[in-house]
Amino acid sequence: MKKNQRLIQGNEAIAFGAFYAGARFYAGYPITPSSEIAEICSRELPGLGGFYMQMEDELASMGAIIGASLAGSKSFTATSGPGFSLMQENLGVAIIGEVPIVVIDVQRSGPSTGLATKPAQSDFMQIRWGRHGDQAIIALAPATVRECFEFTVLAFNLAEKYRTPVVLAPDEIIGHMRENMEIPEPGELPVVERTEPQGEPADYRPFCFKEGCVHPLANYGSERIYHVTSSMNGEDGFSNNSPENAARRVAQLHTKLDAGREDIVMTESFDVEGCETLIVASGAPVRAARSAAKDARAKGLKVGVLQLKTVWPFPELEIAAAAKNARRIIVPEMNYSGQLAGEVRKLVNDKNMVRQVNSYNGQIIFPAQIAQAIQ
Amino acid sequence: MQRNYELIMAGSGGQGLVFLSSLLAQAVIEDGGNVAQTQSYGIAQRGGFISAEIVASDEEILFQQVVKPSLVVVLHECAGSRYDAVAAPVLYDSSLLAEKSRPNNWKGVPFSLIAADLNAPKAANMAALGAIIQTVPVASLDAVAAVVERRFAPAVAKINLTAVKNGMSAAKQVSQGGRS
Repeated sequence: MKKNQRLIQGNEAIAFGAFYAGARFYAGYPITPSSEIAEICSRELPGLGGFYMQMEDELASMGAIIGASLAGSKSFTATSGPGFSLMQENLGVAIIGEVPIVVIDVQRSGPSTGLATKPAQSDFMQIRWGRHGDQAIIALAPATVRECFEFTVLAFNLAEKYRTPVVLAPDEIIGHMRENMEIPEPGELPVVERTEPQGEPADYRPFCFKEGCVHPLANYGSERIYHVTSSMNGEDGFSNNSPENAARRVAQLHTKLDAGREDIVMTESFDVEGCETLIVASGAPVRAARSAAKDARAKGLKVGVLQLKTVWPFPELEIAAAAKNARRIIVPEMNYSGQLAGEVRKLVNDKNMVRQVNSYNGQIIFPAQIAQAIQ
Repeated sequence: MQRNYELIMAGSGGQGLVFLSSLLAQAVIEDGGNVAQTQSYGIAQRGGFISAEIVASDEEILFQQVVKPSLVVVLHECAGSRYDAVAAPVLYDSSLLAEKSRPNNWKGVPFSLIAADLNAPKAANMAALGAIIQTVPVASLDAVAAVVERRFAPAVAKINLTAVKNGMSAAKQVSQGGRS
């Protein structure tokens, strides 16, 4: 028997991963299929010296975690599509305020409240573009229970490192499935802590708009007093309407993620070397894709799989490299419109080489559906 | 020997199917295997069709769901007709589902009756667990016993383990052609 192997649910692994990363503040409004995360946080966080806050809705949940993070506590919330819609406004506040937070969106079938208990991957575009104003965000999507744990730790690390909200976007299958995994020991996975600002407290500025800059964040309540507003602001945090300042501010929100691209964009390749058919997938469909590719290779077909661990920023370079010799790219995803396929299509000259496999009835994608597209 | 099993457990919400599948999944791990457990359910808190699936393997599990079942367990009539076409053995609760002609691969085991005889009506799922490991060697009785003993208080564990063993005997009897 493997001594430390335990049966763990995806949502459970996310909660444990958050605790491992040092998250000690959760505010949320439970919603299927993410509710286990709230439940576990309500049970475990007080014992870890943390806080669980049951909020009146998702707007308030976001407000609470923004405040808690500014006060120095790694903070997060969990929701699903309907709640995620309600979080957009304050997610924008966190982006312009450069507040490190993690939002878990366990994707379920929509539109609106849709099929509450069924899986989907139809929130990718909302994660990227759900807010008004021009901004960028990081999003990760796990395909195994182990990845639920690891990616949650990574999400907190990236949030701290780049002072930005990070969205972890498992689908319902991955959130609710159980697999055997070994919980990593403390120290086994790197955990990024917030950088302490240096210098005279009176001289502290909460922001730096130099290209690619990530400025150290002081804790609310410390001797470094500063102001955060949702309106256009200068490096001192106070209102500033000059066009020069606005241009630098907006550009820096983008360039800080551009500068960290190598760190942020994660993919994994399975037999992509010289593949003629490349399957690009994220989340649960990665598993169906790998299974279909294995069968196809057994028949002598050159089929590889590229797993997008990071969905945003979109892994353009990695996909282009993996598709170098491909004659066809297959993109299986649980939505109608082909949200990922559309992004892949932008990268190739021959748009017809991208073939979609979509499921939008609340059902999973089976290997046979992908096998059909391979032929 | 390579272990590779795909199991479906189907019934009605509240029968403890997901719990059963999770105990079985833990027993697979106890035996050193890899496991993926999934479930499908609706928005009703009690009642309504529900299914749980187990994929158990000694290799890395790629696809998480059942493609070709090794065994199906049916605990409620609402799940009955869904599996008429499967080729794998189907174990059903003969003390709960209606008496009617079933395909040849369907074997009735009186899970609810076994539990009722132990004055533990909620342990029908444990009897089913016994019947499962009797029919396909997905996990050992030792592993199931270890998991049950960890999960329950001693008195309850004892009853549940008896239900598991009685489920095993009943399934063995049925497979040998006897009617229970």
